[in-house]
Amino acid sequence: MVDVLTVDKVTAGYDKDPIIRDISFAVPKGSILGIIGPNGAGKTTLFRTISKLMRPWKGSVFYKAADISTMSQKEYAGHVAVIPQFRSVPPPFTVREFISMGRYPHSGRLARMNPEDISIVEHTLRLLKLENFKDKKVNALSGGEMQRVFLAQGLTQRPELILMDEPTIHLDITHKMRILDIIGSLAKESGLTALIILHDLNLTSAYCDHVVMMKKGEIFAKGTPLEILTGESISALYEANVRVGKDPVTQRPHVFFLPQKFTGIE
Amino acid sequence: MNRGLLLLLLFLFCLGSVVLGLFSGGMPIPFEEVIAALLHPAGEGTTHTLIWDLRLPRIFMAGVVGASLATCGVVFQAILRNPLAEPYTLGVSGGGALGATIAILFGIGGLAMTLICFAGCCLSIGVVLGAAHMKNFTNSMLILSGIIMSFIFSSAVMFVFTVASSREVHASILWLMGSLSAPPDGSTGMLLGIVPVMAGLIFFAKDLNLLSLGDETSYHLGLNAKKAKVLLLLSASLITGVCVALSGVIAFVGLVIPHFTRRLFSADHFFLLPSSMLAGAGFLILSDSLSQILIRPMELPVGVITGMVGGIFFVLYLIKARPEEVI
Repeated sequence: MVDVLTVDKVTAGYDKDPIIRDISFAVPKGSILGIIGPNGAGKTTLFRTISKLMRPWKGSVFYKAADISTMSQKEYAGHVAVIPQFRSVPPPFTVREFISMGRYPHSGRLARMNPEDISIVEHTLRLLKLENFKDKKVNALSGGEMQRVFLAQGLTQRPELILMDEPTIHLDITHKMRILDIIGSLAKESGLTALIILHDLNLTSAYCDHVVMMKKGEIFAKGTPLEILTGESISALYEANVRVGKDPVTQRPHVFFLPQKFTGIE
Repeated sequence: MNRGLLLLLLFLFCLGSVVLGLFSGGMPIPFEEVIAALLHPAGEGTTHTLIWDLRLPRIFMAGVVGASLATCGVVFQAILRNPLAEPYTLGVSGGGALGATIAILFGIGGLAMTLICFAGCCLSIGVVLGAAHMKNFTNSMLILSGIIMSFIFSSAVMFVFTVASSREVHASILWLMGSLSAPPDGSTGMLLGIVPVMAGLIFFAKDLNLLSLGDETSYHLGLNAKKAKVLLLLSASLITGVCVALSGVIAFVGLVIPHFTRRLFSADHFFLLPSSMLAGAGFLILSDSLSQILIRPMELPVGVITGMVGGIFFVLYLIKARPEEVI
């Protein structure tokens, strides 16, 4: 299957010292790749490099066959949607206006919304169950609603690849699952490819087809959840006491956390 | 309310202000004489001169300056994502004030003074954008370098005050308060020059919508944020520079009007820009008319009216607005 995203021997950083070193992996079309790792592992630096906010010092990032450094920002945004972790509260646009801005890469400077744009926006509103919010001001929404609106704006770009940094942070379990279920069904039905940074290992196991583990700026392990989400690897990655079982429904690994008061291990 | 209807109401407000402006001035003129003068552009006499040579050009100037300051305020608030941003945030007023006080000190008036003042504005814009360039045009760098330039220019103005005569200091202070009473020769041409630039900002409504979400978000949506920011800030600052050079530092129009129109129309710049143009033009024409009527036959600097009226309405708005409505 064709790889939509290829990260090839990428080294990148901010000042003199590289934060990430010699990172390589590929994400096949229609699959979800999860990136996990402890704080300071370099996940966000990798995310910023793939999303074109930083240039790699060495190596390259490819969208399909194109080196992303040769693509204009508008061209890149026409294929790739980026949902960063931190976004400030937007100005008082209505939800509909805010989501419509996702059509920017596909439209001219003065062009108003054409019927195709309108139909895409309406479809996205329905998909994310935002029809009842469409005339509400986006800055008056709750955290969960706002996160869905951010995702809706990204999906309105009609991307082939979506990059998400901690999209479920601060959300309750219902909203976490709703967001990841939508990505999962789009991957299955429309061939959307996703790269998601996650901290929740069980969500990673349940939703991702491939996992990249990062530690101290390098790849610690990569493979399917079944291959690499083992008690040994997770304990070594996070230096934490865990036990890994198998979920009887999904047949995927399930991580159990073992608090010190039960194990006596420091 | 329907956005088209709101725009129509703002247009009518603007028109009403123009009518009031025609009947304002140091000397009251009967209604029928104003109408007669308007209907006979080639006529003669005192009333005709007052209407065609003084009041209409003044209304035109107030309209264009008011529309410009409000529009530039919209641009600055969108790009800098700061509720206190206004057309003078990059220190344009400070540069203009220094240019004007130096011109007054050396007894230079008219068009030459306007050009010196505009040069001061350009100096400030150049230094601030140059400094911000070193930090990738981040908003905090733009705002901080604008404030620093304002302090430096303000100190330079104080220095000029200490060596100037009291008459020159008085003239400078009056200029600093902003006035539309004495447009210099060539002002109509300069104003006509900025109208297309101001109207052209509507071409960037989408870019402004994106920039108001923040640099990184607009970049992720496909906008070359740095290029758009520099182009828009430069255009808005130059428009502001022309306004400052012609009418001094008129307070509050560029700060207050965008907040009101954003509340009326949401944050979509396709409506925010034209509505702010109309509201700014109407507000400044109205303020200028009041400045001529209130202590007749004397005249108040228009900045006194805009500061007071704008300030009071702004406080009321802030008290009434929900926290999330104040960006």
